[in-house]
Amino acid sequence: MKEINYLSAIVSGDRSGITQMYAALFPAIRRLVQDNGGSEDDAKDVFQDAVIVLYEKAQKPDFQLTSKFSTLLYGVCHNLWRSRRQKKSNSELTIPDDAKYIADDSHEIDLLQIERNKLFYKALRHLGKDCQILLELFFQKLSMNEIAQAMGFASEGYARVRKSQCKDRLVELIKSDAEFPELQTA
Amino acid sequence: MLTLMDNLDTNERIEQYLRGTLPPEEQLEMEARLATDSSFRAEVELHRQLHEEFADPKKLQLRDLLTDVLKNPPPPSPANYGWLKWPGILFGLLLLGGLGWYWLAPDPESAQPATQEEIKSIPPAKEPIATQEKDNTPTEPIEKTPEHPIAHADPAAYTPNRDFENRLGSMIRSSNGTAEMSSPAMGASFKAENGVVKINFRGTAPADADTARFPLALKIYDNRASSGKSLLRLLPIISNRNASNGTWAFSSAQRLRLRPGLYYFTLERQLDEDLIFVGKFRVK
Repeated sequence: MKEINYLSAIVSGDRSGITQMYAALFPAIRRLVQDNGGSEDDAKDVFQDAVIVLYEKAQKPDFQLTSKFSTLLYGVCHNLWRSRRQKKSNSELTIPDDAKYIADDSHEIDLLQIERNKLFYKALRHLGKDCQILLELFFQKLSMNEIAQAMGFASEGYARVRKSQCKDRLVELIKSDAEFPELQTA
Repeated sequence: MLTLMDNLDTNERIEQYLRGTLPPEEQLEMEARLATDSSFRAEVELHRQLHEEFADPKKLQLRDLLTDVLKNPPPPSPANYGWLKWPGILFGLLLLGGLGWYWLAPDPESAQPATQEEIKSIPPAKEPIATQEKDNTPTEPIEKTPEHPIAHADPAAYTPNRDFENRLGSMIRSSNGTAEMSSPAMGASFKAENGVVKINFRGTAPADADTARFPLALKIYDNRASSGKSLLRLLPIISNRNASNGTWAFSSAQRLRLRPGLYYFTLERQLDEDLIFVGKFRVK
């Protein structure tokens, strides 16, 4: 698959394209992270977060792919891993570039937002299945009446109560996470 | 302590505020409170962030897809042996052709057709039911499963369900520890006798306030479950709160009429369906 198609695979959620992208590009990311104090799991985290960052960037109307996709992905991963290690070590950190990839530091990342959104996702997926479906419909701005019909609830009022219960549980899960206090914005 | 209705009211107000649909006087009240109450301001900001993050369903699907790919990674991309490509394909075809001729060539001593005795009969499809053993199990109504067979005795009945596979194990988030199932073991196999398997669902969950407030529900799914539709929903007994290690014990002994296949079960808080544990077992 050509590199430019990796980006469209990410945007469209094409499993086959994303799998090919992983097979082709993850080894370099793993090398980057493991050569700089990380594990394979750290590398997978960085890879996943970077793909989400690129998805968000690609949604912006002024986004243009001006370099190779692999360079872009590597650059975001490079920034992510450096930021994470700096956060742990509380000091400046320099990570050398891979011989094949030169990190492009022009792609800024908001580590706080990335970590926070990942926590939100983990909390959502910890809920029961019905709560997950209900909240997904709610956050996608379906009306309570539409949600009641989709979930097979007897009334809009019951849908509202269930939504509130599920949302309370989601918020409780998020707030009870050990990392949450650091991720709050002022 | 805030009641459910208080929370419902607060959530509604915050959501209306974020949508910009609060009546003018309530909007002013909200803004006055936000200006002076930092914890309320943080609460509203959290709601805003949640709405923003989950507004795009494709992003959520992308996260799920990435989680799945990373858990079941593909093999690495092969090295570039392009110059060997066509000779390699030709050789492979010749090899396959040769092997196929060898295996498929008629054998002069061909096997006799299977007799009636050799043909295994599949038990007639029956509505699977759960019967409770005669003990102090609760008399809560048990959902009946649909009349069509749950699973057929074929390989597809054993295909792992990716959604459940990604969540196997303890899901509970508590500083007191994790939920554990002592029975059945993860992936345990059960042999059906006359179409019935006996399974004892037994384990422990942290004895935190939530477990005490919200009794547990046990749901059983086949491997093709989607949209949260379970085959069975049961209510295990919670007992034996152990003060020394802060755990509740729960149990539910079941005799289940299930077809051969792979099944999953979830342990949830009954009220809000918060997942505590996801497990699986096989029926042979």
